[in-house]
Amino acid sequence: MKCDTCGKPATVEEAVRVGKTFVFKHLCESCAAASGILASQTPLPVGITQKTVVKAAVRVAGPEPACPSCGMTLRAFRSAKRLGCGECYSVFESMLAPVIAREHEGATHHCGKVPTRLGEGDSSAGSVDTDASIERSLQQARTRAARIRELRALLTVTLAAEHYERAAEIKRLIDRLERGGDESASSDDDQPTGGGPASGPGSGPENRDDR
Amino acid sequence: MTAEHPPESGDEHRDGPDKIPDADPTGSMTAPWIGQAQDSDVVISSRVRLARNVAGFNFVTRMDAADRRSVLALIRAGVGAGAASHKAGEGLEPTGVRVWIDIEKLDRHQRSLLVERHLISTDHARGTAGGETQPDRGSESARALLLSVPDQRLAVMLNEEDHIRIQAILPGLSLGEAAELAARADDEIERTVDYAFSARFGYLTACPTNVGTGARYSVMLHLPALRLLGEIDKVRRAANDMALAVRGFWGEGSDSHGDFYQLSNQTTLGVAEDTLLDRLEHAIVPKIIAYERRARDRLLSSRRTMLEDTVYRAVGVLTHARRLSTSESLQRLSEVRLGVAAGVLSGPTLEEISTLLLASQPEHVKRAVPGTTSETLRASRAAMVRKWAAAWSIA
Repeated sequence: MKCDTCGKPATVEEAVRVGKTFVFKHLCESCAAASGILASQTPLPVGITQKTVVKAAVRVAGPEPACPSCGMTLRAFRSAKRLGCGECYSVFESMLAPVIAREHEGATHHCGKVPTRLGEGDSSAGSVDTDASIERSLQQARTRAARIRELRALLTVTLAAEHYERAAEIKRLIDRLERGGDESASSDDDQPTGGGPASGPGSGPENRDDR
Repeated sequence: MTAEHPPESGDEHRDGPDKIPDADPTGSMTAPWIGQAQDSDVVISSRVRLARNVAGFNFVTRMDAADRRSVLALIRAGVGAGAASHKAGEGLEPTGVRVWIDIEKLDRHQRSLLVERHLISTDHARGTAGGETQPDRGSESARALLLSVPDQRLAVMLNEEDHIRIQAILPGLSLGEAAELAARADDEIERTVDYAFSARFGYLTACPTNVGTGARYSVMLHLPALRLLGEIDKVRRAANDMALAVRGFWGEGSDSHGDFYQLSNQTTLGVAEDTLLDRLEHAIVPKIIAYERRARDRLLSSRRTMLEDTVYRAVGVLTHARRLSTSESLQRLSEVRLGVAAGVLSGPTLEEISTLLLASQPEHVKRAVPGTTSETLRASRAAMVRKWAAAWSIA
């Protein structure tokens, strides 16, 4: 079995309920981790009758990715509900982003106080953003968050109509935006086409209930 | 009441557990939420909590003993240095001195005193806030409390779930003031410590539910009339719709002991501190206050007998009971509080009732009535409360 996204050997099988049927997807470990799939030994949720997409049930083979700084794994995070260090937020960003958005009413980016030591450009604080660049990135984040909300609404409609290729395309756009990228590869924001942006690690289809 | 009991050993910065004044680590038998303040007929207290972590260290969940001590030393050195350059009224200690308390060096009674005053969490007392399975592992679980005394309004838990948990508590509806107090402490600590922060996620916290501003704003509300009229669920539903959590404030996992409810924001990402604070303090909480006051008026005008019966029965129990459990004393004091606020009972002030709410907590009873054991706790509590209640009179 090959990874649906990159063609490497697949170790993860993802079952997503769409309407009355399950759609099975196969991913390699890195594509699965990059698209934010949580490792689980849980069997498929056979009895679920929701009409919309439900959370994926996933089986994983092989070792899990770990934070190089503190050794935290996704499995340990799922069990403890706590991260190991600040680095974990970068290492597991693609997995955490939808989890965080769900916990915070759909919010994806910080808005508010910034440490003054960052703002002052304190040399002892290391390579940190300046006040202006933080303000810029926060402004971009606000626009991006609005766009992500629109695309998520579009995704729901597309999935309900069972247009899976188009849905995958929209999901790729959402993933790219959530990682801080833009939509430049798309010619029409609301009508993404099948021949749009190139696939890469983490841009594979992700069917998580991540509002 | 708040400042009646100054610490015993002067006004200089106290340094280390060897200089803790006596068995009470704060030096005063009171709590920061006791006092007369704006809207205190309904709002007992306002609390602001900021979660922060020091950059370059693992979070507490994955920290070894040496790193725990390093983080404490770093923060202690920073705030100590800050204090020397400050005049009274500035920085971490706006109204008094600060004490540094090593929690693992306190005995369990002293820790319970701090928990009962809501100065530290139960997990911080036990040393399990970082997910430790074994409580009280001595220096392996080095953790501390930086506390302003005698007011106790600023309480900074160190090595709790996050390296730094700044808490400011004030009586009544004073979220803005509490936020300023917490923010000043935040700025002070940050002068010498780099915080774990990212442009996308903001202040990085051990639990993603706190990431962003790391700020939790909460008010402790007393809503007995809404409960008596069966309308408390409306408040719960409305709060839930606004992404606010409603919890009990007294008792372990309490739902509504004594009709005290804690209302707080559930989300910390994507909304700036000022925006959230403004919504809570000037829109949401005032509406709940008005709702409770209208319910009290309705009780007075159309169900006065029921109201008086509830209040006077409570006075009867508190005046005559020979044994009182913690939960019963909370419930009866809550009803007495309603009676005072509604004007059918004279004698105790709201502040006095708050003092009794604290004084009737188990560890406080043991300290107030020498010789109290677990077996005689209820009798001691009843005896103590009877003395206070003897002066109350029915209006």
